[in-house]
Amino acid sequence: MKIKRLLSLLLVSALLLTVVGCRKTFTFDSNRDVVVTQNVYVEDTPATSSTASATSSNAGGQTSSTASSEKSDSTPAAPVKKQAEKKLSGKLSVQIFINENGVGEAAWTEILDEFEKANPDLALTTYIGTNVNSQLANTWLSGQNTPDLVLIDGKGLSETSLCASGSFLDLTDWYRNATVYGQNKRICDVVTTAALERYNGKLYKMPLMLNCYGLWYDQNLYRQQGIQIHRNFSEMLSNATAQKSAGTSALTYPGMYSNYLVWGTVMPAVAAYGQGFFDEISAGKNPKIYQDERLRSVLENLHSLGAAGYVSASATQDHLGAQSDWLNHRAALVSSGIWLEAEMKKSIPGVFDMRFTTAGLNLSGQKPGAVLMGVGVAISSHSKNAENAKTLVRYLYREDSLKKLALSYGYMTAAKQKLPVSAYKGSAKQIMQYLQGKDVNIVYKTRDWGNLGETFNSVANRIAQGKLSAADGCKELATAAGKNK
Amino acid sequence: MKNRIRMSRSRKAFLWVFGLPTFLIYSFVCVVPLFSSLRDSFTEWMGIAGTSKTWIGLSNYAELFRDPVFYTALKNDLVISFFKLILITSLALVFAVSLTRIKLTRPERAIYRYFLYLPTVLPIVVITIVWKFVFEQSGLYNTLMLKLDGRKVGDVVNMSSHIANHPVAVITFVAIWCGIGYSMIVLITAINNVSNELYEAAYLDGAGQLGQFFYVTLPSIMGQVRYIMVYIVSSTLASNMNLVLPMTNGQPGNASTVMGLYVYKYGLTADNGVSRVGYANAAAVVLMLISFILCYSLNRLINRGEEKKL
Repeated sequence: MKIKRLLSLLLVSALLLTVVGCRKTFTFDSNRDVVVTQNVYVEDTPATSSTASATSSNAGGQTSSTASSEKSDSTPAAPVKKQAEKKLSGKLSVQIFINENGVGEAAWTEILDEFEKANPDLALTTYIGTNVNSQLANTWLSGQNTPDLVLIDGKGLSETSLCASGSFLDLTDWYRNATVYGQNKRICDVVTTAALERYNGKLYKMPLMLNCYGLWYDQNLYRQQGIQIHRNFSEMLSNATAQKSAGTSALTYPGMYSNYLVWGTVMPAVAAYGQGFFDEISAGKNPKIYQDERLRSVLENLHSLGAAGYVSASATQDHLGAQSDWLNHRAALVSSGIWLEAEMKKSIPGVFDMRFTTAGLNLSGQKPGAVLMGVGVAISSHSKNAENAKTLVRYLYREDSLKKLALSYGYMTAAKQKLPVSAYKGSAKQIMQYLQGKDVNIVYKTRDWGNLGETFNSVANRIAQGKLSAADGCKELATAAGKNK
Repeated sequence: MKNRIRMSRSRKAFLWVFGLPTFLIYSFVCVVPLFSSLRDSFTEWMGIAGTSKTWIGLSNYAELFRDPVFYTALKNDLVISFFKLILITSLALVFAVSLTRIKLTRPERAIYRYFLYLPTVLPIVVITIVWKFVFEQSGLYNTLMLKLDGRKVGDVVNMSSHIANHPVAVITFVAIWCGIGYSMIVLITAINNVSNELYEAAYLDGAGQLGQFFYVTLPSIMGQVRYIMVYIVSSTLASNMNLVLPMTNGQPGNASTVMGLYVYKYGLTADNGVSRVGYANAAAVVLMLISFILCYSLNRLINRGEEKKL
């Protein structure tokens, strides 16, 4: 009997200790490495400051903002004197999403390493990895212990929700006066102003690179089939007929995530009509615009492809399935972003000559559009180290930092001064040549269509499979836009 | 005169010590979130700390009942649950009886059990990947059909994707495939506990294998059959999303969406615009009510059947 009691007491103690233990594990401490996935940069790094080290009372970027907040982005401000950078102290935490193939990780590691060396008294903690967004999601939801700076990229981090909830710091005024770290340049003079995406007129994300969706093809397959890559819809349709008889679908896409289809085919054709029309469509608010003849003609082109059976049965495919179809030449074009080569490096057959285009659903004689989207960083509005975070943003706008990031991701830099095409490797070279050429109509994604995205994806998926007419798709979009809050 | 069981003080203390922490944990983990979910379903809220939580009464419910996607999700859930209930119960029963009543050698029995139980222990992502490889346009099924027809493998581009064309049927099939194992093991355990004397008596009364099944096996394991039926219904509504999300993500055009995914997309996914936790909670409350009504009705139905027999 005594043994039973003893055993009972032990079990109860174990239960209580487990509860206490669980409580401790759930508490997120930004300095603990519980959720740190790969690299942790903590204090006590050897102090070898390589950049500007002279002391200054001004931390840089925090210059007087008298009346400057009223100025437009392009209005030239008073000349800014070169400032020596004050060394940072205290803490700074950074959240960086990296995809499964580690694209961009080397560049981030190098840049943050250099920044840390320049600021030896700064305790820099980096949360970097593939699952970092989901691991830190609770901090953003609760508004507690959020990392000071976050790279807005990857799944699991809703830019729209976080902007709408005020979780990010409003950088609208700050960016106009902030200077590039250690350099005599203002960020607003460096960054492509058109690429600044605003939410309710406020700037939360500072773009570092520009991403673009489109269609990838294997030039060798086209050579084998004796056809040229299309420049518009009629050429695409005639290619599709030839390809079908050769046992290849014209297009494949991941239907499970049809935003690839929307941004790779529909939106470039919308962009072909210019920034104004693209902005109206991507704002997601005005129901009438979704009944516009121009959008309907784009969607009708997509429907023609699907109804004729030129599109793979991709409605429920994931991106790996779609890419596999494309790699096996079961489809000639795959809808994806310009990161595809970096992402699939290990799986691309040697015979592939990867090329990228944004042409597809655009009319004959119309330049294809290309939508450039900013990939950048935001600062948490809950951050206690916002000044340190701002300094890191300024550091990221250094020419060498931007260059490292753009080359590592294979993206276009968000700086006005574009990198020379020769600096890129592999298919990124062709992409930059294409995007910087005269045969494409560049527009920038500056709005967010919020909850309309889900409907747009669903509509495009069904149209591409020939299961929904363009007219009905437009009606569905108009109804959804009316409800979009 | 009623006999009251007097509990000793130490026994009372024992029950308190064991019961209280469990009750507190259960309340904290289940009851409190349940009520906070109900409360939040009457609000417009993004689910992020610091954002306003506006009381909007029944507006979320009104919007929910006007949304055609909600009805699609509900219909899909009910269809999957119905077929799972019928087919898992009957197939698990057939397999359990076969593996216990048919004369098999021990290794044979072990192999059959292993293969039938295997899907239960496989991770759901592995299961979905495997079946996608079978039912996609360029999958195993279409490739085999082409070979049987004597056509070129390249002709697969002209074939349809079974997942895209019949997503709910494929999802139901996969759900049944991976649901049989657990129910079968429960029933095997129950059948093994049935006394051999009953079978011998039935045999002497002239009952064949079928007679023994209906007059001995089934009545003896009815409790477990009832358990697995209620278990299938109660777990299906909550777990359908686990299959649908990696398999189709509700596509094409919400045709394969289920209630769990509907709640998830509005409340938890971070990638679809502004999250609407209040609205997602309204959908979750409806899902919970439907789940409760179904389980309760099923339980009543089975119990009534049992009472009539007695």
